[in-house]
Formats: sequence, C-alpha cells, structure tokens
Amino acid sequence: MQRVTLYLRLFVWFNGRQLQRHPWRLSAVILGIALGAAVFTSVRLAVDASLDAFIQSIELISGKADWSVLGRGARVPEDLVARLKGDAAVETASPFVSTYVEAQGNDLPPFLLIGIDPILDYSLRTWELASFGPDQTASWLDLIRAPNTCLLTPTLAQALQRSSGDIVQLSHVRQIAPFRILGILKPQGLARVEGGAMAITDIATIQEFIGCQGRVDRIDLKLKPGTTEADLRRIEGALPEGFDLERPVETKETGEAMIRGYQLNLSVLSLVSLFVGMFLVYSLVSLNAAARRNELANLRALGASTDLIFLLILSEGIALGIAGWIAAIPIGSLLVQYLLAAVSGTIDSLFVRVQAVTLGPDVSEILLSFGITVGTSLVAASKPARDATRIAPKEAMIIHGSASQTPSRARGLWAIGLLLIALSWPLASLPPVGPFPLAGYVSASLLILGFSSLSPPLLRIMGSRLARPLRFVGGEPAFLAGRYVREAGSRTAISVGALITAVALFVSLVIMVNSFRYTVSLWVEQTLAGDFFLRPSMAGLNEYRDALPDDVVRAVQGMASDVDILPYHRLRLRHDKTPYELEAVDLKKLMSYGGFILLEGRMEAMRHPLFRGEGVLVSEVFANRSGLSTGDRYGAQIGKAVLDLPILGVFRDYRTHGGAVYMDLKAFQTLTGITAWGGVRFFFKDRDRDLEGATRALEARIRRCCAQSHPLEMAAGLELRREVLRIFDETFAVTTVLLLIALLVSALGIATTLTVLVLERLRQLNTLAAIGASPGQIRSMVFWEAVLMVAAGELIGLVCGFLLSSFLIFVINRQCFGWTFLYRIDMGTFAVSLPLILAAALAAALPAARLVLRASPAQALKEA
Amino acid sequence: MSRSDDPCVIEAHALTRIYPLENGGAVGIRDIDLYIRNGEMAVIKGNSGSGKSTLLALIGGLDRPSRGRIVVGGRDLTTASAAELTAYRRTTVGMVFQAFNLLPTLTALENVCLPALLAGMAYETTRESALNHLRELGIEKLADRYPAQLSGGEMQRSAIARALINNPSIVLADEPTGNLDSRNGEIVMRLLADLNQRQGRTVIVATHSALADPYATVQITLRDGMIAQRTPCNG
Amino acid sequence: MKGRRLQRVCLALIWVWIGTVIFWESRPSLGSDYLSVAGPCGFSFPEDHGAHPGYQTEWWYYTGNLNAEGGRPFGFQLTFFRRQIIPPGAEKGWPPHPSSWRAGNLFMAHAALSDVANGRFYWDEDMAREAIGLAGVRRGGGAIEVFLGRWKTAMGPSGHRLTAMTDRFSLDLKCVPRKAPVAHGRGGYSQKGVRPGSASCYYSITRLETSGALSVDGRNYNVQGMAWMDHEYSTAPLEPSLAGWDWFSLQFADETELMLYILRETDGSWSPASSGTFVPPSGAPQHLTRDDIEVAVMDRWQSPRSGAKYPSRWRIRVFPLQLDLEISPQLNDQELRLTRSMQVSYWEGSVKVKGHKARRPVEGVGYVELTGYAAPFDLLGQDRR
Repeated sequence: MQRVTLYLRLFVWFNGRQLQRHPWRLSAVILGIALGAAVFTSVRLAVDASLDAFIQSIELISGKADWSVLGRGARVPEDLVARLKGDAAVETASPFVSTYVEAQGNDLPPFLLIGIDPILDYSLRTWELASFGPDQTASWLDLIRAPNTCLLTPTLAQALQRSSGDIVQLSHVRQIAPFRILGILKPQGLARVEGGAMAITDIATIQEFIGCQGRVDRIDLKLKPGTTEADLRRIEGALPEGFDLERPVETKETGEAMIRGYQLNLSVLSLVSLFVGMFLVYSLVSLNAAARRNELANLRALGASTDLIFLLILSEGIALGIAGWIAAIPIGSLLVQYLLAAVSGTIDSLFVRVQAVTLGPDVSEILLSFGITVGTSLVAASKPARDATRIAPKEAMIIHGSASQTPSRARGLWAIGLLLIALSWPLASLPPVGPFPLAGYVSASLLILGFSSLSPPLLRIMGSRLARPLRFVGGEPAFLAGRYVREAGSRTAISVGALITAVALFVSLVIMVNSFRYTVSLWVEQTLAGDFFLRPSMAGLNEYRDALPDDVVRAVQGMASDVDILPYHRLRLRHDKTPYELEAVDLKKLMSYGGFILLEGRMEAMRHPLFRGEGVLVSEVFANRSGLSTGDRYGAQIGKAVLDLPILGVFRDYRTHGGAVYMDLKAFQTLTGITAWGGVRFFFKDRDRDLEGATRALEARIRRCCAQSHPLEMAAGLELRREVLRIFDETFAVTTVLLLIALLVSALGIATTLTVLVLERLRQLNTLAAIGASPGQIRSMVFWEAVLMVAAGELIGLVCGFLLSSFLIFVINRQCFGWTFLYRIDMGTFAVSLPLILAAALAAALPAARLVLRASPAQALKEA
Repeated sequence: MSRSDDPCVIEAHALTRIYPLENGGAVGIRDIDLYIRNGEMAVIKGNSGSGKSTLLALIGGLDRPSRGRIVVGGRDLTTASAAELTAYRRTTVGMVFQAFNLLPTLTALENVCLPALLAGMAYETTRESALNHLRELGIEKLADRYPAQLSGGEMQRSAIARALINNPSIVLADEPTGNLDSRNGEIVMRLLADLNQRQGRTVIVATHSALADPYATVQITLRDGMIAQRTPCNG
Repeated sequence: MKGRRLQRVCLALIWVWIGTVIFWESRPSLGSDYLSVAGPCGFSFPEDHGAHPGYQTEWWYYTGNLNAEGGRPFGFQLTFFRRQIIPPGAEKGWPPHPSSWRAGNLFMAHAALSDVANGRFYWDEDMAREAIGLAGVRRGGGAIEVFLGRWKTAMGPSGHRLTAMTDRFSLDLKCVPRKAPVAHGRGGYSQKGVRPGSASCYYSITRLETSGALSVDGRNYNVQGMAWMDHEYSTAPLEPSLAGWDWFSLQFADETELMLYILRETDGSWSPASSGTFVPPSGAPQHLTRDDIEVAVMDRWQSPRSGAKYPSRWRIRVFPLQLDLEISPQLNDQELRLTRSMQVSYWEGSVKVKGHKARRPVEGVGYVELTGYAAPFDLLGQDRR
C-alpha cells in the first residue's frame, strides 16, 4: 500500500506536472490518440449497426421458415403450395411475394410491400395489429376478403400521414392503384423489417397488383419436428426442374460474411490511425525521458529502484492512452454519425440491402477500443521505459568522458529490409481468408516495415556521400547535418518510418483512387453507353423481376426512326453461391456504339460467335468468384430452359452486387422463350446532332405516351454515368477519410519525433553554441538534418508507395471485391503533393529548431 | 569522542574505475587505497579530470569499480547487488551535487522529502522532519517554492536538507560550491562543516576550491587518477 | 250470378296471394346479402350433400363410435366448416384477371379421437381459404368431396369415405348409410331461436355403418362401428340471448335414433326453439318440441384448461316416446380447445346410453356436443388476430 501511494505521488510530482507544463505537446499527442481510437471504434460501431440491421431484416422476413423453394431466374408456380402442404413432413407451406412500391403524390423513397396468406403464414412470421379500422372490427380476414387492402407499419403511416380507413395510391410499373388501409401494425416482428417502412397485403392482392398471377417469389416451408434427410430429399425430388430448396439462413450467412469482410477491411485501415498514434506516444514519452535524463539519474541516485523508474515512464504512456481514449468519446460520437450514413450506404450499394440503420450501445466494442488504445500506448511506452531503466545513477554527477550512448548500429538492416520486401510479394498471392485478404494486409505491413528498415542505411549513405555537396549548397551547418545523420543510425528509423508509412499510404491511395476512377470512367463510357435509358420504376430494387408492360414496348417500337433501340433483358441469378446478373442484349449493335474493356480474349476472334449467340462474355468479378474463365463453359438454368455456352472472353465491369454475363438477346429469347423486355437503351443514329436536346425530346415523348399509367424510370445517359461515378466516389469516401486521418496523425508524429531527436542532443547543440556557432547556424543545421531525413523518408516512401499501390490494386481489391483496375499514375497530383509533404514535414521541424536556442548556451550547459 | 580510536568507515583497496575513450585513451581512477575514519571531514582535491567525481561516485554507490574493492560501514559495495546499492544510497549516504540536482517539478519541500519517501516513510512524518531541516538551514519560508524560483544558495541549502532527511552517517559533496558565489559558497561550506563537527557525521567533499581547507581533518589529493598525497590534518 | 263469379275470382286471387306468399317465404331471399333460411329447405340428394353458396355458414359433421379388435372402444369426430366471407355477387367487384388466391370462402376442419381404453382424447384443427386446391368442395369419381388439405369426406353412391391425418392420429373410414337422410324441423327448416330468421337447413344421416382403420400414437387398429352425419347450413348467427347449445345424437340397439338440441339462454333457461327428432327403424321421423323433452344434468366436469364446467351425466326423458335415459360420457375430458380456426372451446364426446322405453330396457351409443360453457359461443363472430 505504501508503495502504491509512493508510486502515485511520484507520478503526479514527476510525470504529471511535467506533462502539464507543455500543454501543446500534450494536446497534440492526446488528439492523435483520440483520433485513432475514435476512428477505430466508430468504424466498427457503424458496420456493426449495419450488420445488425441486415441480419434483423433477413431474420424477420424469413421468420421461422426452415427451407424455401426458389426458382432460378423465375418465379415459383403457386400450385406447388398445395402439393407441398400435402407432404407429411411439411407443417406449413407459405407463399411469399414482395415488391418495392412507391406512394404516389409523395417524395418518400420506395418501400417494401409484402404479400402473404395470413392463414398459411401464421406459424412463420409474426405481426400483430395495433389498431383496427374505424369500425373496430377489421382484421386479417378483411385483408383476405377485400381486394386492394393493406396494413401499414406505424412508421410508414406517419410518413404518409395516413391512418386506418384512408386510401393510399401505390405505384408500380404495372399500375397505380388505390389501396385502403385496414389497420396499423404493432412495431414488432415483421413490421420492423426495412426500418419499419413496409406494408402487408394479401397474396391475392399483390399478385393482381403486380401482374404475377399464378406465380410467387418463393414458398417458405416449416417442417415438422423429426423430419429426416429422406423426407427432405423426397420434398426436393417432387419439385419440378429449375426449382430448389434452400435454407434462408444461407442468404443471411452470405450477406453477413460480406459485411464482416468489409468491416475487417475498414478496421485494418482504421488501425493504421491507431498505430500511427502509437508513434505519438512513443515520441512524447521518449522525449520526456530524454529531456529529463538527468532528473531520472537523480532519482536513481537518491534511491529510486529501476522498477519504479520503469513504472513511472510506462505509466506516462498509459495515462496518455487513457486520456486519449476519453478524448475520443466526443470525437467518436460525431464521427460515428457520419460513418453510419456513409458505411451503410456503401454496404447497400456494394453488397446487400441495408436500410434505416440505428446505432445501439455496444459494450464489447467500447471495451475493445479501450483495450486496444491503452494496449498500444503501453507497447509504445515500453521501449522508452526500458531505456530509462538503463540510465546509470552516476549520470547525476558530471563525469567527463563517460558520456553515454554510442548509437546502436544495428548491422545488417539492409539485409533485413530487403528480405522483408522480398517476402511480401509471394505472401500477397496467398488466397484470402473468406473475404478478408489477410495475406494481403500482412504483406503490405511487411513491405512498409522492410522499407523502414532501409532508412538508416540509406541515411548513412546519404550522410557520407552527400556531405561534400551539402557543404557546397548549405555551408558548414549542412555538412554537420550530414555527419549527424550518418551517425544517428537506427535512432532515426522510427521517426523516418512514420514518414515513410505516411508517404507510402498517401502515394498508394492516390494511385489507387486515380486508377479506379480512370478505369471506371472508361467502363462507364463504353459498357454503359447509351443516350437514354428506360426501365420499369424501381427495377433495380425489384431485381428486374418486372418486365416493361406490353403497351410501353409497342410504343417504343414505334419510335424506331431516328433512334437505335436496344432492348435488353436482365436476370439476377446465382452461380453456386455467388450472385450475378445475366444481361441479354443485341451485342452487335451495342459494340457499334460502345464496347467492353477486355481482360482476356481478343474482340476480332470472338465477334462472330458472340453475335450469333454461340458464346458469352463474363465479367472479371464473375470470373474471379466462380473460377471460370475463357474456354470454360458457362451454364445456367432459367425456369425450364438450360443455357450451356462457352465463355469467349472476360471483361472489366464495375457494377455492384456481383458479376455480370452478357449474351445475345435473340439467342436468349430463343433458348428461354422469354421475350419480355427488362429495359431499353436508346442511341441516336445521327451523332452530330444536338444530343442533349434530342434526349429531352425523347424523354418527353415517352412520358406522354407511356409514363402516365406505368411508372417508369428514365435517365439520360450523361446523368446515369455521372450518378454511377458519384456512387463510386462515395464508397471511396470512407477509405479516403480513414487514410487522411492516418496522414494527420503521422504529421503529428513526425513533428514530435523530430523534436525528440533534437532534445536528445541539447547539450551538444548548446556546446556548439558555446564554442561560437551562431543561433542561425545551429538552426540551419537542425533544419538540414530534417531536410535529409524527410528527403530520405519521402524517397523511400515513394518507392514503397508504388509497390503498395500494386498490392492494393491487384491483390487486395481483387480479393475483396473481385475486380482490378488499369494502373494509372497522375503525375500532376504528385508534382503538387510531394513538395507539399516535404514542406509540411519541414514545417514540423520548426518547433524542434526553436527549442534549441531558448536559453543562453552557458546556462543551458550548466543546467544540462 | 576520540577520532583516532574510531575504526575506518570507508576502506578502499586497489580501487580502479576506467572509462575507455574512442580514440584509444582512458580516464578514471587507478589503484587507489583509501582509509577514512568515522567522523572525519575528508577533502578530496584535484584538477578536472583527476578522478575526484569518479571516486565520490564509487563511495556513494552510484557506480561500480572496474577492479579492486571498496567497503563502507562494513558493507562491501563491490559485491553488492543493484538493489542493495539502491538501498545503500537511500539510507547510508546523503549526496550534495555541484548542479544542485533538485527535481524542477517538485517544490523545495517535496525535494527534501523525496529520499525518505523512496525509503518507504510516510509522507506526514517526513514532511515534519523536512520542515525542521529547512528551518535549521534558515529556508523554511521557501518550502513551497519550485527550484526555478530559488537562488543558487537557496537551492544548495535545500539540497543539503535533502541529503540529511534519512539521517545518513556519511555525507558526500561533489563540488558543492562550484556553482555558487563566494558568499554563498562560504555559507554552504560552513553548513557542511557543521554537519561534521556538531552532528558527528563523516563528510567527504570533492572540490578544487580552498573553501573547505579550514574544516578538513584529512586531505587527499588526486592526480591523473591516483592518490598523489594524503595529508592528515592536525586534530 | 255475377256475385258468385266475383267470389270465385276473389278466392282465386286470395289463393294466388297465399301461394305467392308461401312461395315467396320459402324461397331463399336473394339480393346483395347472404341468403337466409325462411322455410322448408327442399332437400334433394345427392346434390344437397354439396355446398350451398350464399349461406354464410355450413358444416358437415361426422361423429361415431367404433370398436377395434377385442372390443377396444374409440370415438371419433370429423367436421368440415365452410364460412363464406364475401356476400353473394361480391365477386363482380373483383379485379379483372383475379388471382387464383382470391377466395369467397374459408374452410375449417376439426378432428378428434377418444381413446377410451387409455382414457386419452386427441384433437386437431386446420384452416385454409378456398383457393388453388387448398380446400373446397368438388366432384370427383362420382362423389362429392369436401376437403381441406389432406382431410376429406367423399360422399358417393357407395358411401362416405372419411380421411384425416394429424400429428398424433389418423382416420380412414368408410361409412355406409343405413337409412335415408332425415330432414329435421319442418322439411329441414330448423328453428334456432325465437326470431323468424334464426333458422338453418339441417339434415342428418342418423345411421352409417362404418369400417376402416385408425391409428393413434403410431399404433394401428382396424375398427368397426356406427357413425352419424350432420349437414347444416345457415346465415343466422346465434341470437345474443343464447349462450350455446347442448346437442345429443343417440343410436339405439333397436335401430332407432334420437337427436335433441337444447338451446340455452344466458339466464340458464331453455329457448322455446329447442327441439329434437326421433327416427324409427323405418318410416317418417317424428319431430319433438321443447315441451316433449326433459334434460336433467346429473354431474359436472370442470376443464382444467378452459375452466368451463361441462355437464357430464344426464337423465333425459322424452315423454311422447316414454323414453327415460341415462347418458354418460365414455371419457370426462373430450374438450376441444381451438385457437386457430376459431377461438372457441367446446366439448364433443362419445357417450353411452341406457334406459327404458315404455319400460323395456334400451341401450345404445351416441355423441354429445356442448358449446358455450367456456365463453358465449361465437362461431359466426369475427376472428381477431
């Protein structure tokens, strides 16, 4: 107990008051740690919230269903329901139809309309009426007996400003129809799906509304307890061709895996901030320990044990970590709001539908962030603490000639550095652990570590070789700077390493974002070519299950004079477990206006078979995920039809939600018998005319003829392409923010580490002053040291950054998302930013230079 | 008490401590034999680089010899462990330094209490004792000031109070007047002599100034790391 | 002479008027509302074994007492309910190309089995809308089938085939009618309350020789015995003053049958509409009125599930027939507590009869149905979810 009070008292007297006396340094470090901790925690909380929303939605929708009967690329015939229900092992077989609809006269986003048979669905999904109709007698029975009736969630009712008994006009590409609201649901069970923006109607009503009489999206089964494998096989065997049994939990698990992979990726990026924050703790703690070397020696001389010294220095680090974590709370609260929207938006765009995400307090995440923050601070402070224990008590007395440290010259850093760099490349090609490119990240870390190890040897070389040219350029101070840098050895490695990390990350990020944008722009111009796009309203949301109504098709066909009409049909299918889109379109016409960016295969060789429908083109994502490529056979089952075609080539594609396969439309129609149109692209034949005006005129025409009774989605090609790019920019926003924060923390780190290096040699510098060097000359020397170190750091960082960018583009992106880009370097950005970084780092050296000459040399020497 | 009957409290045989230099040379002390009796006021004289501070460091347990032996108060410091040396520094010796070596973030009073606290004493009792020492040295009113607010003489007097807080039998002073003007230097030296004459502590002063001469009972002169002369004074 | 002709014309007009009124009265009333029973039903078989759309509620009710080898007794019940949910003609308001799920009727079914030897009672229920082959009434193989999922009754020239499968028991019985259907009340017009509209069309096949198989808890039995079929349809909900009814169907060893229903008022008294029918071995059935019947409750049983106190032994006297009977249930607990198809509890159980008829001993078996003891019986009321 006595020892604890002693320790605490000394901590306050020795460390506490010292920290207090330099509030700027303290604030810089705490801010850096706070940023790192805030970023790490907010990212995890944001993704956790999205994950919860997603899982909850899926679980609420699938309810207690054990299995679902699904069609491949087709809806399920409803007569299977009675057959399945008749099976002895089936407790209930419940049909399920859902579609996104809009409320007319409203700016609300589309919401989910679910159609079920309340009787068959009874034991699968839970929902309950909170209030009945105005006559207090409505019930689920009224849902069945009256067409065009529905039940709303309280959220939706409030948003639409309607209540029981009111009419709401629901809009779907097939028709706009009035629905009578029979009652409001209690906000529980199914009513919590999609953040509470949903409505329930009878299965008969929804079939009539969207025109899918005779078919349902799927049939959910609940099996009796004690069902055996044989029962399952019998049930599956009784299904017609093209329909399978699937567990609802598989959809959940696939989506969950994707989101968790994304979370891990972001966590690693945010850990970068945290680890760079470690630099900060290291620099401040070692700064303090270095500056007060004499005091520490005093303490030892007075009888303090080495354990006590170790504990005091270590505690400084821990205290910084705790203070940083506490400061992270307000920062994190702000950051998490932004991240919540951004992250859930990204997940919604790229992976699975996620809506109305709310943040919940998560004790385990908070404990995790506390643990990691304090843990990294502890690790960061451990080296200075250990070094402090080596201070001999006799340093309390000035004994001439016994000046301490010879800089540790770690031999063989060259070899270690090159070895790490060499290891990183083969490691990168290891397969990912699930969607998490573990090997990719390890090799990226090895790369950075390897390059950092090269900095002392490089500085040594720079110091020796450049010493004379330096004297020519900057005079004696520059020469001395070169000498110092040569001797400084591995003590500079950590601070230069911080700079290398920052520059490498910056360079690689710039290259990656640039390459991505360039490639995506190219893709958008070629594969998304088109002057005007027409498709059913909410087609994307509804996964292209609804075709363009016949009268719209007829009207469009009548416009064939000055436009080239390119109808297409899209199907969302799955290959094994991976989702993809099959698009059937007149490829010959498409190629005359746009094209594909090929990865494999040559267009001249594949033109003819492709246009004749004797082969398909698959996207890079599809090829990576399925393992198929040029020469392999692509197979799919669509209803009763079977497609079996060779893969003629692989192209770059950046659509979200999976891979893509293209085939000729006529061949598709012949093989499958599906002649409906999923959408249309329009191209103006005369490319020299005023395209914008013509597009507007076309849109007006279509609106007049077709959009009155059929809600349609129309977009000018230019707008569409801009929108696609905007979505990509948004998804990169999160990554960019995280890396910028890492850069900021690095900047703080560089400033403080440079200060450490100066203060360690305060006596030497003041001695120089005492023997006649002017303050300007000393500052100049410190400045040149900074120049050399920063130049070395930038140079190494640049090389490292180029290599790192290849990792990011060709390995990590490939493993996370399935795509790669064309490598592209924007010289302009570098020409501007690299000097900026140099300037910024040198500006960071200014405080260090100023520290040098605060007091008169003699006094400083005496006190030192 | 009769000093001549007192046994030697500090004994060194062939004491050697060498620091090799990068250019091949070496500094330090070599083959020193030393006997200092209890209650003596020994003054070690010599120029810079003669090894005075090195010798003092060895006596104070701040350093270990390269060769030879040193026994203080019956304790062989050569074979003592690091922990034992730490305890020795806390309890048996009190040190006064040329640069005062007060911790700048502690008040004068806190600085004085420090060795006692390190030795495990309770703060309340230590505080009382520290105030007494400060009172005896005439600087009680400066108890709550930080070293930056004290003059050189005030700092050194605080340092002396600190050296005494654990009631050590031996007081070592390394150039105690080196950073003081002549008036403060005299005051400090008289205080040190007082510790020896009135309180009977063994005081060893390493200095090149002549201020200590009137009070010394034995003078040891070092040159180039070896004892050049050992002069017992009268008394 | 003119006066006589006038008189004859007036008389003729009066007769026409009376005939029209009678005709009008006995015709089911049409319009946009459900049909109601207002007079004799005019049964014609086999057509009337089928459904009667337009009337809001209809049920086909089978109960019976069976014996397996060694005389092991069982009682069974299988009931199909049709509930019309939209008034006649409302289909015109349906959208063009209506979905196959759009239904005008809901079907419900109850099945129960009394395993007397083990003292166990099992029951199950099911419900479905009349759409896409989930439930309904259809013609197949010369028979009229009423079905719900895998439960059905196929009423054909050679007999009624009953099938039902639940988690714990199943039935597969062939019931051959031994007598022609008996129309209760006046030509089937059966009063169920004091108001004129409170009536149903009701007939029974009072004696069906039954054989077949049943299984319970995995054990199979071949069984034989006697069943009773009720078919009733109406639109009138139970009058508010009525709490429920007690219904008795008894089959005597001397080839006679007795049906009684006692409509209980909420204050405990009997509605004057209570009545019964006695079916001799051959010849016309005899209608019994309330005053012809005396029913005394000898014992009660309280359900641990619903808390209802059901009568569990009766002494029944039918005065015109000089019948003095003691009726006792084969099992106390034959209560169905339904939660899904409807929110009701009722007791329907196999009973044994013995007594005297004009001082000659008689004995037999039967079924008793007791409704409205847990809560006022609201079969036609709205279901809440």
